[in-house]
Amino acid sequence: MGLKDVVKKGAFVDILRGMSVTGTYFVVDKVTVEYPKEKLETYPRFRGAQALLTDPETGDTKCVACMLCATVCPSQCISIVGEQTSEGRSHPAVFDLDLARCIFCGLCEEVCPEAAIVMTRRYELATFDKNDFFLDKTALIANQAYAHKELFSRPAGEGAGGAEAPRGAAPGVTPAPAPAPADGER
Amino acid sequence: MSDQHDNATAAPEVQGSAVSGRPTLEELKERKARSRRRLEHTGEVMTISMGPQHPSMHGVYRAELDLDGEVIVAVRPEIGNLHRGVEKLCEQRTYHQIIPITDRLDYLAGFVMNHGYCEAVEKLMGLEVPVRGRYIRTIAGELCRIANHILWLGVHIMDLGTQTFFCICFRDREYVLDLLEMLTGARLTHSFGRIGGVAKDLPDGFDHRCRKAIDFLPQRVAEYERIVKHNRIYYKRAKGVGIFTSEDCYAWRVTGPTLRSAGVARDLRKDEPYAAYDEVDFEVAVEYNADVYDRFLVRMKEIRESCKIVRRCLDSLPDGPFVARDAGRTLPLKKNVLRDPAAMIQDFYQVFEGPQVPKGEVYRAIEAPKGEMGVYIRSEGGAKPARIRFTTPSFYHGQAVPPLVEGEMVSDMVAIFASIDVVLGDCDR
Amino acid sequence: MSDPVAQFVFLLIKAILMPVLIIMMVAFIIYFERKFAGFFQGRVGPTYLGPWGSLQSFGDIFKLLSKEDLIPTRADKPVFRLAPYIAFIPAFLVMAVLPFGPVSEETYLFGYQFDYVIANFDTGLVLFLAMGAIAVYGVVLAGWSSNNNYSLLGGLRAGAQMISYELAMGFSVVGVMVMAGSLNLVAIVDGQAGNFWDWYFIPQVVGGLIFFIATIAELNRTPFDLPEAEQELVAGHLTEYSGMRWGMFYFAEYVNLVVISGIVATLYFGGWRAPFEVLDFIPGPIWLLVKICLLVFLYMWVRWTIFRYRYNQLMSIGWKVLLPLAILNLVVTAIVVNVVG
Repeated sequence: MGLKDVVKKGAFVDILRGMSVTGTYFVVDKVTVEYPKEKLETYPRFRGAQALLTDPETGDTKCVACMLCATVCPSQCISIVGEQTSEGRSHPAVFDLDLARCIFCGLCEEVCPEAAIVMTRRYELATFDKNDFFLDKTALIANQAYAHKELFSRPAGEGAGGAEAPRGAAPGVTPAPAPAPADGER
Repeated sequence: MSDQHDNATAAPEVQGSAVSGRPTLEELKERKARSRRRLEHTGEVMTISMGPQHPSMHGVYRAELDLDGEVIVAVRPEIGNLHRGVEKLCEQRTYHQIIPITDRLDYLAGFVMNHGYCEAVEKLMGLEVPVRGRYIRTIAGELCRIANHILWLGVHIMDLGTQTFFCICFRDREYVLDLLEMLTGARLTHSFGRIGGVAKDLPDGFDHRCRKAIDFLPQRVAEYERIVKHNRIYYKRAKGVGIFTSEDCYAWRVTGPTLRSAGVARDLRKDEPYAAYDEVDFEVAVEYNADVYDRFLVRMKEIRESCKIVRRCLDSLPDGPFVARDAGRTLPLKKNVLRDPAAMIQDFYQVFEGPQVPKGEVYRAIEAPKGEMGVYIRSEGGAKPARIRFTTPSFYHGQAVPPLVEGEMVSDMVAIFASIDVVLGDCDR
Repeated sequence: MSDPVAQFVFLLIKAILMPVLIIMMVAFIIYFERKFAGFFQGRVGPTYLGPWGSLQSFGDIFKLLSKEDLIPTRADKPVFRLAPYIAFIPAFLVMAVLPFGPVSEETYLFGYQFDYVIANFDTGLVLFLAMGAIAVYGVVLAGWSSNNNYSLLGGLRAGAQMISYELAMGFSVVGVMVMAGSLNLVAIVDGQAGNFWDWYFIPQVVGGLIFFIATIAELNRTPFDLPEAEQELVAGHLTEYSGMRWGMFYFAEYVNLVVISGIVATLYFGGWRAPFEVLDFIPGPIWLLVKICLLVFLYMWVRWTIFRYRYNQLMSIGWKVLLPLAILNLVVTAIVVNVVG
């Protein structure tokens, strides 16, 4: 070890270098987002709890009980019982989704041919009552309020890509009354 | 290891370390023998169970240690506390449904697991992935690699004693996880790979944000190196500790950064290229001293190389479809499903009947951040695989702990175990 | 009131007030430790309880008091119960000899002669070293009485570590003693009269550094916190302690921190003296407080930056590096003091 190394070791140069880094962090802005006072905005593709979209004209859900989502779900958390409405279209009488089994993979949203079931931006699902995890048709329709606003801003038939939501923007978006069919980026 | 191993380079035949700076295999073995203490104990042996609940064991890994004072005399590892029966679950699901399950193998690099599985299925089917799809897979895979290595660094230094570094590394990892959430919809359980390509294209604004992040990350790596690389305490705790020569690595099927720190330039991205790795130029990180310090250097270099790969992919990203369009074997694009009856029929077919997979078996390995991840699939021609086996790197690294650690001291065990990067989801499946 | 009664009243006030003040200070130092830990790591630390989270320690105390008192069945119960107190009390005894203001015939308070020290003890420095040694008992007995392999390992490691670093500590303060010519802490502070360049940290820079490092080991803080190394031994000698008993150890660690910072300030940084004589009008206790706060900050900064040594490396540093350097420091100091006078 040369003299320079001995002096460096004696003067704790490497340790002081480390301390200068932490010293810098001491004074710069902190990265903490103080949840629940501040919240981060999720991206458009974020896969939160599901919602069933309703058709604004009929007021009924767009789902036609084709059973694709129930079949593709890897955790088998969706159970549907279909029926014919008085107008002759098919719709689910019972649409149950067990959030406790759901793995939030998004396959149900991907395969739905009617763009009826979507993954919303709702991630605050903690509750004291386990029964709250069992979403029935009413609860799923009510979750529409949390659907990504980009779903309603893009017209159908556009190419790949969804709009980028800026991080940190305050939430609180109500969906437009006439949603275009959800054009996912597929 | 597989027979493709024959063309891998063995420990380089170089001159002794005095001349070339790189130790030969014999020198490494000698150093290892010197650093290990006597294994024949003289006094009573105290048995300590390290784990399964333990702040440092990455996950629920249990190691029963026999200690003579500070020296570890014997190690009996025990895995299986996180076994979820993933391979059996896969037998009950179609090939499309398995993809979210593969996320949960090495949950720190979810997309890479998807990718490995999709590569194996595509090899079995003989399906070709379009160019843009391959590039997007490369980008996502390398982002996962960066996230994994940054987390590894934080955990490794935390095991050595300071929580500060852990917080710093996780803060930097947020940039990458942000990008992954923007791209895939989730931070850890990406489920982004699909048979024939990826699930979605790059969103608007991703290019800009990604470039910002990967311009920023190499500076962070430089800062980590500045703090850690020349730190006298890290030197003492990592240099010459946990030597695992290339011979040992071959004997125990240890791959990935640990093998590359022993002087073997085996990287499946170069040796058996997949995705866009043969079209992008990058270097393989190799070090020669086979100790904990070198594994740190290898991983830091890998982060830098990953940033380069992502930048080059973004620069030369081709246009075109991001997923193969094959009516019998891939899921259709959603926008087509909403309008086109043929696509809707494809959708129904793929969900209810599953993709058409020929009878046969296949093995395909890719370079996961922790090592070689291989997928073996045996198909009887149906919608669901007859047998899937995931040969995950942590499974073998976890088994390699006894030869690595016996003879070292307890504090070293923690450092060495962190350096070989074992994650229990990967190990226990 | 006649003079002995006044002195007795003053003594009572000092003896009661000092520990209370120190305990209050420690509650806030624990809060600052967590806050600064956050700041050093780029995050904000506790913010919830009280303005800027300042009442966090009190919340912690309430929580600890409400926990179940678990003592392992086969633990040695009397020793188990006694150990936290053995760790806790010696620090308060050292506080008794620490001068926090001028001690002379000319200082008066309310018309009566007042010494700004609880006990003007002629061998105060030796008392400090002795109390440091007794505190080791607390740790070792805690580890041994818990009937747990981990605790035993931790306790023995801690004991060995603290003993070896006490030697380096002892030798380095002898340098200060040689310069001051006395073991009395009051005399040591008086020997640093003048401006800050008269303080002992300049001639004794090597000794001071050794003392600082040795006290980090004595306090079981990173980089020498192996006895409590979470990752390796769960919690070392504290594994079986829960609730307020653990709280006592935790508290004891910070009381030791404050007191040792006080000792460092007294020995090397002029104690209650102002850095410039013109600033003498600011009372002594305030200066001592400022110095203690700065030193505590330094200890925290070191803790949150550096990582841990391995045990044998730690011991080899104590014996092979610090001790010889401390002896060398002593020899050089003795020669210089004798020659220069």
